[in-house]
Amino acid sequence: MSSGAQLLGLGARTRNMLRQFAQHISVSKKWCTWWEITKDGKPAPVDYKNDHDFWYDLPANFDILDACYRQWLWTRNDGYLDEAFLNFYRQTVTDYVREWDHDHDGLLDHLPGYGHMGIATYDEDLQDDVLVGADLIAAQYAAYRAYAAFERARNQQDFADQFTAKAEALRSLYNHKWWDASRNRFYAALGEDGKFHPDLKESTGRSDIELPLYYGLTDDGPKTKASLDELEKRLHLDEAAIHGIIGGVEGQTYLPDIVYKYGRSASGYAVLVALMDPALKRREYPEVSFTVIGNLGTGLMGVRPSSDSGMVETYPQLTGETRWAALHHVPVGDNVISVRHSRSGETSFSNESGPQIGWRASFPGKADALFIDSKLVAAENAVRLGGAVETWHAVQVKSGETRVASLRSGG
Amino acid sequence: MTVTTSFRTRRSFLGSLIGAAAGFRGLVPVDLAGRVGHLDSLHNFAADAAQIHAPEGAIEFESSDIDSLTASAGPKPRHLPMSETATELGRGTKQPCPAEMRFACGICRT
Repeated sequence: MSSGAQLLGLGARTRNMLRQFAQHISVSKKWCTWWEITKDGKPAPVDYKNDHDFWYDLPANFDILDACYRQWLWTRNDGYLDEAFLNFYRQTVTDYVREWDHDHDGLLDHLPGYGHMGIATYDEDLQDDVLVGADLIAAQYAAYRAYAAFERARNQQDFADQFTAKAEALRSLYNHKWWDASRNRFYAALGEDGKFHPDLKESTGRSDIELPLYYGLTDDGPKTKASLDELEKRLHLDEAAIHGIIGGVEGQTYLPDIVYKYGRSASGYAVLVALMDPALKRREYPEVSFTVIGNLGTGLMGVRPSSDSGMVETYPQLTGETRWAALHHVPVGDNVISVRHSRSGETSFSNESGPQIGWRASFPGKADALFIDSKLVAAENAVRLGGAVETWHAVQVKSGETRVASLRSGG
Repeated sequence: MTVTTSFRTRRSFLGSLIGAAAGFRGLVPVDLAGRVGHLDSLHNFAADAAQIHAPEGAIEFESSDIDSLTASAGPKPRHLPMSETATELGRGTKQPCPAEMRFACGICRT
């Protein structure tokens, strides 16, 4: 959703808010930060009494770190690497983990009696049942990866390697020990007795399915497919019931991020249309509009900043309903760009302003070559998340220049 | 707390990154100097703020199926500024910026 704000030109406001959260991490709050912050720059009293009595869901620190990384990729603003942010990142992946990992297995725990302080999942109706939620591991995995990427960018390769390894250890743990082959699905949580409970009360939010996909924790192949199929099954049921939306509208707003990420374009389009339906209950919630805007850009249009500085990717996910679509005046780093896709297999990319920028022009499907500005060039192939094969070629686009990539001559 | 609230809390937290998308009561930016707003009764501040304060040259989206894609009541121009999309999704019509928002956002104060 922060990408929706970025597309709207609100990147500086996003950074401001993230900084507020980063600045208020403290040892007195067991390395948590504030849960909500008022316009006066204070913790919201509804969920905060003092540093020893406050509401907190443990995925939150990790979630913030991951959001910071994604917004750093979009903006390349080094404010995300200043001392306040760096302290938050470091303390989150070290002190915060040590504070809440009571049995020293690397996972954060919510012990009996903790109540609302340090809930080990975002499913708060399970706060007294869950020792470790799947969504908590997923967020921790994403945070380790984000931290490793930040350290890599700072030429701190040892730290980068260390936290890449930690992330992979979590991924391996989840995909092996948390996989319930008998049900062809992952366990949702470890109970407070330290055991899996297949009959654990199901949260209508289903964050145990959504968030491991959202954060990219599930292994490629049949396990990811099984989780996506389950989500899509629920989406289709929801379509039939209209108002029986997964997790309410708040939960549904995760779906476009997930299904577009894994290349399920038809589901992405369906859920975008559903989110924009005037009859949608709670449609006025801001996550709805920000999700839609963000996913028109990153999902349907497939515009994403690369982890390589100065490079933007496009990967169209247009469905049969959309012959063409265009997005103009998109801020990415120091550039403003425009992108136009057509179903016939052509994408144009304009560098409206800013320095020369790299463009990774990608298309669904396998081909040996692409046409760049009507000239045939050798293309590369790769497999994307979700298993789809892509064909791509990277070019440089000068300031003020428009370049065109096409699967066909004269396309 | 209901499940719905839990999601809203989650969204408010991450999300309110205005981007990360604040369901619940919208944490919103006060100004660029470092304050954050938490407006209890104004869920959709973020959407409104995006509409009201969308900078000059804000992004625009257009597509062959813009009418069915946006699906809002009433006819819609084929060429739709994103800032309007945010507002229409958020509240259905353009709204004046309430005083509290104006204070909280800080941008209008100029």
